[in-house]
Amino acid sequence: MSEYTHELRRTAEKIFVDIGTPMLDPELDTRLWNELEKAEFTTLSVEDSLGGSGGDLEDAAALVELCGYHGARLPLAESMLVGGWLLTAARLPMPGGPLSVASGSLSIDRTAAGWTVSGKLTAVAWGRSADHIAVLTTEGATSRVVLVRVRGADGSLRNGVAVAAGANLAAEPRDDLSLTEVSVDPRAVVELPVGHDAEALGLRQALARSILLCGAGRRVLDCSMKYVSERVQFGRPIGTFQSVQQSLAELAGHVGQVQLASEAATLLAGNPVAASMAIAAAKATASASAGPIAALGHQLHGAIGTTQECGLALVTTRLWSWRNEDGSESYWNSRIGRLASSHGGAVWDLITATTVRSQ
Amino acid sequence: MFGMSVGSVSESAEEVRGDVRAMLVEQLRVGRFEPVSNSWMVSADPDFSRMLGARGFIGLTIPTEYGGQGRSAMDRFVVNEELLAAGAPIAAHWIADRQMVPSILRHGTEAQKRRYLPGIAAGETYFAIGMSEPDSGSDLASVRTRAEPTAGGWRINGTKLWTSGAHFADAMVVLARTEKLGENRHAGLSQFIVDLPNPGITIRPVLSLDGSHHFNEVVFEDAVLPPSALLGELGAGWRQVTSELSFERSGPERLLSTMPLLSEWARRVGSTGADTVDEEALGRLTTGLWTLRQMSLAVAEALARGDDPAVPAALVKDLGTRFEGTVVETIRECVQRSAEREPQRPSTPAEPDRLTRMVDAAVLQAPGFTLRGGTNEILRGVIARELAKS
Repeated sequence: MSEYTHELRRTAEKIFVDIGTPMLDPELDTRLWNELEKAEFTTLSVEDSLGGSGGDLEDAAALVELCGYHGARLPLAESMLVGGWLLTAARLPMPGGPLSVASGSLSIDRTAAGWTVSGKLTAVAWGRSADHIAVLTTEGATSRVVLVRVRGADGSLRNGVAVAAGANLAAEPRDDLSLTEVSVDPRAVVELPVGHDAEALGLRQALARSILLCGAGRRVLDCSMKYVSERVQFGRPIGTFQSVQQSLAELAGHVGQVQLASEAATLLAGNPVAASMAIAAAKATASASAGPIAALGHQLHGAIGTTQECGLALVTTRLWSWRNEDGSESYWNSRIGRLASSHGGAVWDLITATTVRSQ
Repeated sequence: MFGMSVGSVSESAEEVRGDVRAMLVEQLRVGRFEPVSNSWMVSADPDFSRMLGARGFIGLTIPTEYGGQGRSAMDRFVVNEELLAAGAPIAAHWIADRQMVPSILRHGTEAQKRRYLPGIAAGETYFAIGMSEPDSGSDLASVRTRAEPTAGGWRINGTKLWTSGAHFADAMVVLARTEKLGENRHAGLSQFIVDLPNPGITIRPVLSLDGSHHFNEVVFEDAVLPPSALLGELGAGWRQVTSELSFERSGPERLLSTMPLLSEWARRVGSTGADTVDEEALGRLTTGLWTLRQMSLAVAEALARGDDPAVPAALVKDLGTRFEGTVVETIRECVQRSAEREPQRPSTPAEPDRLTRMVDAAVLQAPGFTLRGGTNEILRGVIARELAKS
């Protein structure tokens, strides 16, 4: 990680800590979003000319990881890492405000009076609070992005937008949106270049979710280390007991694997040959380790960890939710298995080829 | 990850990989060896080692003035991971190349470097490590083998156990007590390089449960060593032994011991058509291997840079060696499941096919993976304590 990225993280960390109000609540943390937007931390890795704040994918990933770590109530990953990528591919500028992303079928009605879109989008992350949704639609071999404005300037839902609220275990909105002849600017409907289809979107979403899971896992480890060093029983901190040390090392092993896998996948995301394997492996690792990380974290914290007031649940509910979103370990491991299988089982070749190259 | 960056491989190292692969393809084509799991422990083949030495695949980091290749640690990493993945018979020279080279380069005298390094690089000089004893395993500092100064140099008495490869080694490094045990139990230990054979040294095979012979018991009865046998500083044995810990814990051999089995099974899955259970299991193992190999690579690169990522290195050993066992257990389950789906085939065929033989061989060797190189429970204690420091 470059010194620049380190500095970025330090500044962003302060904002999350000072401004963020973490809680299990579906309401978007508007004050936090606005502060991050002001600091230009909501459009990293998007070029200046498209309304972005520059920087590279590692910078954006650092912010997303912090979002997971702090249990931040906002669609930063969706807006920046996924939405930014999708809109950049279409050469569309980033709209201000919270942006979410969805994949679905929309019918586009092109009339002289104006264009409208209709369709149903399911389980949209932060659907009810986003200002815009970038929707990837597929028609045969053609993929398009439709940037739909769902909220008006006054914050209310626009004509034709209906929301059926849903949530994951961390109380994060996962809403079904019904669009009925919602007006859309023709310039906001753009055909995507080859390689930016539903499959590519799925990979990008999996990368974002892996990085979020990484942050949440790291938080569980930090909380657990702190707790076992402070909690005294039988006359000494419980962290001095061998059985607790074994569990802590087990937890560190899981967290370390998720970290390294998502960091490597971030570095390989731009490599067409290696990206699919790396991202699939990162998401599979993050999803598979999420359960053990949560279980170990709770076991180390004892009963207090199961309460709302403790705060551990802010990240363990995210681990339990995010492991299933954007492809579980089963989904991605099956894909990797098929990939290896289709190459005559040449697993070692696949592994050595999926590596960062240096000078 | 824990302050350590993702590892990378240079173009030149990838070229070396290509050279090793070409050599392995050629060797396999002529049936020179059969890939086996755990080959770095169980398959000693001096001719093969000499061939590798002649082709520059051993002693990669030994300076050219001592007969080595003068190449980078990353080149060595790449060569070794290819040989391990292929299950090639590298046991004869493994200890010498991997453990003695850094040790002699760091602590050896000029004479010791000139005496041993060229032979190691040529794949002709083999070493054994005399550290553990019958009563000293995890608690290595409790070793009782003692070295007393004598007219001819040093007199050694004691017993070493596990000493892999002592039965064909040209020399062994011995950790012995040179000062009476005092308050600081790590003080007063020294290392010696012992040339073999020695009239005061008796080597007895210790057979493993699968019938293989790599372990030995080595008894020292007034074995005399010349003064030049001392390796490094008198009394600094503990520091010398522990100075390479991160390097020893994090090598590719800590996760690739069962790669030959995984490759064989993966080829089977690839050739028998869609079985979703097998494919998902194959994916799970591939994912685990990719992540752990990335970890080993990252640690190797960090060490080459002069850092010491103690937690990641210990994690590679703990996670990697457990993963080696997971490979065996997962494949065993899948192979057994497939076999039971075919009602005509018995579960233990009279003439087991190659895959079944490889599974069985790995099952019998698996217990050792998480015991050697630092028992995992001890490693986990180290990890927890290192984390608490940060």
